[in-house]
Amino acid sequence: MALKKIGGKEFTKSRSFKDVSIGFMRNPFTDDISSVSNENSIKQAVKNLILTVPGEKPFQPLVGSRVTSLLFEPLDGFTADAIQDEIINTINQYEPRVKLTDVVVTPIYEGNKVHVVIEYQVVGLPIVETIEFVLQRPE
Amino acid sequence: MQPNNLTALDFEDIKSSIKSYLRTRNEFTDYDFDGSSLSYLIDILAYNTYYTAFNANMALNETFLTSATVRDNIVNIAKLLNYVPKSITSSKGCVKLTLQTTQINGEFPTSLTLSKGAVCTGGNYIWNILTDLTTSVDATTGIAEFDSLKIYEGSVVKFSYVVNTFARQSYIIPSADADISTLSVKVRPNESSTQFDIYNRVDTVSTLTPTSRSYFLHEGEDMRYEIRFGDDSVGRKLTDGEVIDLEYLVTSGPEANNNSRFSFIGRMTDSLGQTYPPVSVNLTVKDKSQQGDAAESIESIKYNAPRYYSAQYRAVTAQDYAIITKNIYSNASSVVAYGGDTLNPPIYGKVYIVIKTKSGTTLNDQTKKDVANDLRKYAMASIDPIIVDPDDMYVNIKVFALYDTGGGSNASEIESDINAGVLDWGTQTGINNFNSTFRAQQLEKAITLSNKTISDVSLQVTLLKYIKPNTNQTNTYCISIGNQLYNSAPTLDGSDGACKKEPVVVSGTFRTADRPGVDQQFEDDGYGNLRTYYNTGIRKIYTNSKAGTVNYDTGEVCFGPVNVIGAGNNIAPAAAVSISDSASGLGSIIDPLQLPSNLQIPVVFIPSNNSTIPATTPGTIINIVTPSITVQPIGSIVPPTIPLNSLTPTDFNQTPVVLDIPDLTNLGSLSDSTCF
Repeated sequence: MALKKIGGKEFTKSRSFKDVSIGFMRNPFTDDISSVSNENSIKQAVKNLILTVPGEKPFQPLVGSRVTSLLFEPLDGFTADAIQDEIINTINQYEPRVKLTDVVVTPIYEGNKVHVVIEYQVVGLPIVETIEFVLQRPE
Repeated sequence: MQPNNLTALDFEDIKSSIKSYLRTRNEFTDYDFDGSSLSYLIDILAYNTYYTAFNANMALNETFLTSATVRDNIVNIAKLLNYVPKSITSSKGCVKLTLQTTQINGEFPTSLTLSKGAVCTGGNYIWNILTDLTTSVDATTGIAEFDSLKIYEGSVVKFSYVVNTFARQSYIIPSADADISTLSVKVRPNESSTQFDIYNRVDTVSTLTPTSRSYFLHEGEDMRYEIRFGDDSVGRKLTDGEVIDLEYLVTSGPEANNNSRFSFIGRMTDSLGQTYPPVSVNLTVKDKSQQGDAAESIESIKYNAPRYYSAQYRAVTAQDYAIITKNIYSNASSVVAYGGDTLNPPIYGKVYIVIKTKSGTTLNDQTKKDVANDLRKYAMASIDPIIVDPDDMYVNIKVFALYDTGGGSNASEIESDINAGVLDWGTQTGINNFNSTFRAQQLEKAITLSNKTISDVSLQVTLLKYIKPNTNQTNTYCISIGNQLYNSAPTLDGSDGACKKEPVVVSGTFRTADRPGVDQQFEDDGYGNLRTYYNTGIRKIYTNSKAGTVNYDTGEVCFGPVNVIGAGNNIAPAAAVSISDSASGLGSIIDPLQLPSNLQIPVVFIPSNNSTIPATTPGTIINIVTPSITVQPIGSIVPPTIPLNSLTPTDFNQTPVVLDIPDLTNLGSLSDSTCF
């Protein structure tokens, strides 16, 4: 199901996306579970994928990215490159709704963190989204 | 929406079922993307359902005997059927010990005692006896002898429980490798007491009184057997402070089989209190170790438990006898039983049980009596179980194969291929067992397929049976092949018998009491009579033209009345007989005690139909003698399929080697010289 095919030059909006918010918070207005939709839902999915460790999803040992284990490697340019590759591969493979335009991984030597900026275009929408977050080993 | 697939047991199936439900709703749409939170939620739901479904499936499977896979569960279900799986069984060897005792004050001791426990080593194992054994000492020579001593592989383990009725105690034999057939259970009134009661194992409550000293046995967790005592209603209940002493063998089972070297390490004490070092004991091995077996497999429990239960500890039908015999005599590889009413002439009130042993030997008289006695407990009143040896019929085959010389194989390669093919055929058709039928066509096909260059196969089939005469007794011995015999000249049947026919029944050599000096044989005259003759080297001299009868329709040969004192090479020593005429062998017996025993006279038959030879009675085993194979190039002339005038019964003075079972040295002898 998922996506309506977009071909040629026509840019029409595909159907909307709607997902449960990962925080499982209560929506104060509806008293129901809070939800996220469209670009926010995609953003949440991208983030979920990167933070999922392979093997975490039952019976799908390949889904997820190895950035969590890479955070335990010595922090240098090579590790940063590896994290970047891992993010690119994961998103290309498991998130068909986006087309990556750029992934920038910057090591923050103080505190052994990595700053990640992911820039992508939502397939079917003429907008470019950016997610920016800091990856850090769990304390 | 209705759930569409409630029987899905697969994670992916359950997951797609949840997704197809969500597809019908419009609250959320992202379930198809691996990264969405909804997808994580679906994973958890599917995983949970999968887990529950698996558990339910497993639980139900393990509830039924046919589908259970975990040994403890199978054993538990079998327990409901009062079936106790067989434990590991220790290997048993048979030895003879002789010892020259020493005199004290000019007197030999009167008896010699061999202490229980380890008596031998051999093949990295320890061999034991389970009770003290005492034998008498020869007063003149001072030699003491333990003949046919059965020794058991393993180590004797003692284990005690103090009864405490406040705690829920279970009395478990703490080893999975305990041979429960060697288990002895003794109960002492308290820890300091040396007196004890022996408790016996029982299977049913039917014979128990409130004071019966008995226990029930069942397999518990992890193949450890558990003992249960009575409750003062069925069987005596144990009271506080009593001590249960368990003694049993922990054994290596089948690994210790086929060991034929033993050295003595036991302790012998005579009636005068002298002990003897192991080196003074002379040990002779009578039988290599055998009968060691692993614990009953789960497949076997699944097979046996319901069948054993259906026999209800009562032997009613012939099959009940067969099943119970297999259970009480572990050396039986296959058993058939049939009522005496099916025999000709019928013998009412008896059930015949034929046992083919795993070791290939026949049972001695004592074992037969023991098995029959064990069976009598199950038998209905007035029915007498009788253990008989299998009726061995040998099919002797000569194979003539013609091959294409351009095919790339030489004669010896083809011969070994044929041998392998015959062995395969024997294995696949389950010949050499009860209820089998020899089919020449199948054998020919197997031979043809064994090598691609073989173009023609021809067989010469003769049958062989043994007459087993009792030495120095005048008897008539009847044997039957149960099939028609070949008629060598049917056109002569109407004549007066003056015309000669070729014999179709010929025996091996034997000696009779009236002619102890010459090897005689018998053959049929073509008109229903057996005649005996001897061979001077240049001609046959007939000694009795009515030495027995032949029934060509039933294949029955009755030889006698005759007094046989030797057969084949098993003949009387010169001192036992006096020969008055060396040419005709006439003479008499001087010393009957020196005459040989365990005689067997081979008798070779030419069957009328040599392509299908069925087992004629339920107790018949068709043994295939390892065939002689002749390989010739294509175009050679093959000999006739009916081997008239070329019977060689003397080849079979020794029991021939049969297919698959090479060791049949003790076939048919009623000996008590071995343990098994």
